[in-house]
Amino acid sequence: MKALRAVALAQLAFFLAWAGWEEWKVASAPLIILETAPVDPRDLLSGQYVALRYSISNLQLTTGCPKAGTRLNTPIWVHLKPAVTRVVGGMEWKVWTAAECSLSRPAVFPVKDLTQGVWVAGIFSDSGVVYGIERYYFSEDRIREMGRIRTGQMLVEAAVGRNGKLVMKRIIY
Amino acid sequence: MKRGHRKWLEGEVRAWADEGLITGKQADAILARNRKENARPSIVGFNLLAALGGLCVALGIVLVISHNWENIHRFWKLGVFLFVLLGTGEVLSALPERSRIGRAAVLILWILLPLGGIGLWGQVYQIHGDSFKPLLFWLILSAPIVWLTADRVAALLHTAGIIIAAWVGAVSSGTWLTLRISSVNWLMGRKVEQPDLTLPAVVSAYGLALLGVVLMWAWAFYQARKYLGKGSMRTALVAGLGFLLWLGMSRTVFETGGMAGAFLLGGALTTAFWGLRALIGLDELESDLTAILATGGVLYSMTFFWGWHSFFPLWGDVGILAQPYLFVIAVASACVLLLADFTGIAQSGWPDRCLRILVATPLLLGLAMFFFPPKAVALLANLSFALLGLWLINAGVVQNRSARINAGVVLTGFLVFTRFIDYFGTMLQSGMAYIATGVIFMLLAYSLNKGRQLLLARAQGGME
Repeated sequence: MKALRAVALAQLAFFLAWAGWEEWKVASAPLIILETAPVDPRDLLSGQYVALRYSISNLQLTTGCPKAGTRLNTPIWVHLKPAVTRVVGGMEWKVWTAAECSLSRPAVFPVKDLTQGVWVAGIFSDSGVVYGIERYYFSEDRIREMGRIRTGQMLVEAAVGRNGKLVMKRIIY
Repeated sequence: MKRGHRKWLEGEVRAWADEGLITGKQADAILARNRKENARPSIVGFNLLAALGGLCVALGIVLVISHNWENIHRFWKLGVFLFVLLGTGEVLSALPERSRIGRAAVLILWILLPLGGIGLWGQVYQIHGDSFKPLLFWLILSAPIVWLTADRVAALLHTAGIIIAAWVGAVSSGTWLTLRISSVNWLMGRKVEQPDLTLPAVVSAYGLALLGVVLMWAWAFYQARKYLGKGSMRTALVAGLGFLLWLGMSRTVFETGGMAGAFLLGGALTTAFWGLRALIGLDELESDLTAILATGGVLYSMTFFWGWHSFFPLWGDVGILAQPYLFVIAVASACVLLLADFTGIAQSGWPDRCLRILVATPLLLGLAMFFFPPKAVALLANLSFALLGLWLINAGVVQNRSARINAGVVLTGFLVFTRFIDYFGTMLQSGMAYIATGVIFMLLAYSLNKGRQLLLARAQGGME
């Protein structure tokens, strides 16, 4: 019986450590705004979500970014800078876009000066660069509300983690 | 006791009483005991019901989590989940061993809870990724529960989870186990379009994934054997060989291209199944039918090469590892067949040699497709299929096993029926042809049944 209790405690420790890691990643992280285009499928485990595709996902024409045919799952670093202004939800937002790419990790972490832009980590996949913020989970009560959002009417506020990974904070629409 | 056995016993007991072998009082006592015994519901049934209850609760928790209670603070959501998780473990530890039903329900709930937790964490922290990682972490988190309790239902659920994870991991793009060639690097795994791509490069790209897949299957087989017994090994074996077939038929580096490669792979795996089932020592009565169906299925499919059309190309673009893959599987299946001990399936001497040759025919005919025209392969497949039927009938008579005689008659009849449709199918446009066909089929059914009954009677006579 002691062994079974130990298993339960080990599972508890796993979930607590995971939650702690996620909390630590975004604690006092800088926030940036990104432009999206949503669609809405469902995940068996975590429920309803909007699948998001970002303007910073398609980087074939950006300096230093990998071209089609590059080996999949290659980690890449993308330099984002605030570039254009969008009006969404009756407010003006500065949207960040990609300026350049690098296949090696830049020595700028943790980020201190946002005016120089930020480097974020992504993975080169067959659908462009993915950042781990391509889904936004929401309550099924809001399906209709989310379904009304059209392309160009939704922005994402993301935190830049200490390791350059983006973490979604909220959607703006 | 099965219903048929129960009825048989009742009839026999009455007959014994009538014949004076036992008294009427004794007969009543035996029948009363029999009824009482069967009126008691099976503990296995209760356990399964309890397990189903646990499963329902766990699935319900997943759905409640999936609803996404946005208004509740995330710490509350996580806290409640952790409380339920810890509570489930504690309840299981506290439940006495004799409370089997309660333990079964709580155990299934506990096995599935970590999966729900991973989903909840993903939702709360907006994390997503491939579908393999959550399954793998769930399997790791719940594995100690299976090891410590050695519960069959829990082990079954967990082993099924391992097999599902191996499939999902290999099928999906971008997982640790992916063996799939995705749309962008579709050309990368194909020898024909990119001849400069070296084998070591492909091995380095897919080697770890392959190792992972092998480890996952080894884990599944280990658990199936240790906790579920030999009976479940047959299912695991069929699933494993099906997985190997899938690798060769899908967009993976092992893709075998056209029909020839696919049939060689299918034939080799079918042959391997016969050998492996004998090596593992599976219960022959249980796995006989699966093996016969597999061999019969492959041979039967090959008979259609008589009317082969170029719409189904014999040769196609193959994955870069297709040739070594086919070679290894073909050689391995031949070795397994040679090593296998068929005692119990066939008698030693010519029946054993005949069986080995028949079992090897899917592999041999798969190889023949590379050297001979399709019509020749179809002819040989027809012959082999008919011989398989005849071998089964003979083995059934010699060993007094009616199931084998039935299977042999069904296979032979099926072949005759199919070839009849092949050659006379176009004549069915006229009403007279319909009537003639119906009469012929009725006669065929009658004569096959008569022949079957004759063989069964002969087999029973031989026993006496």
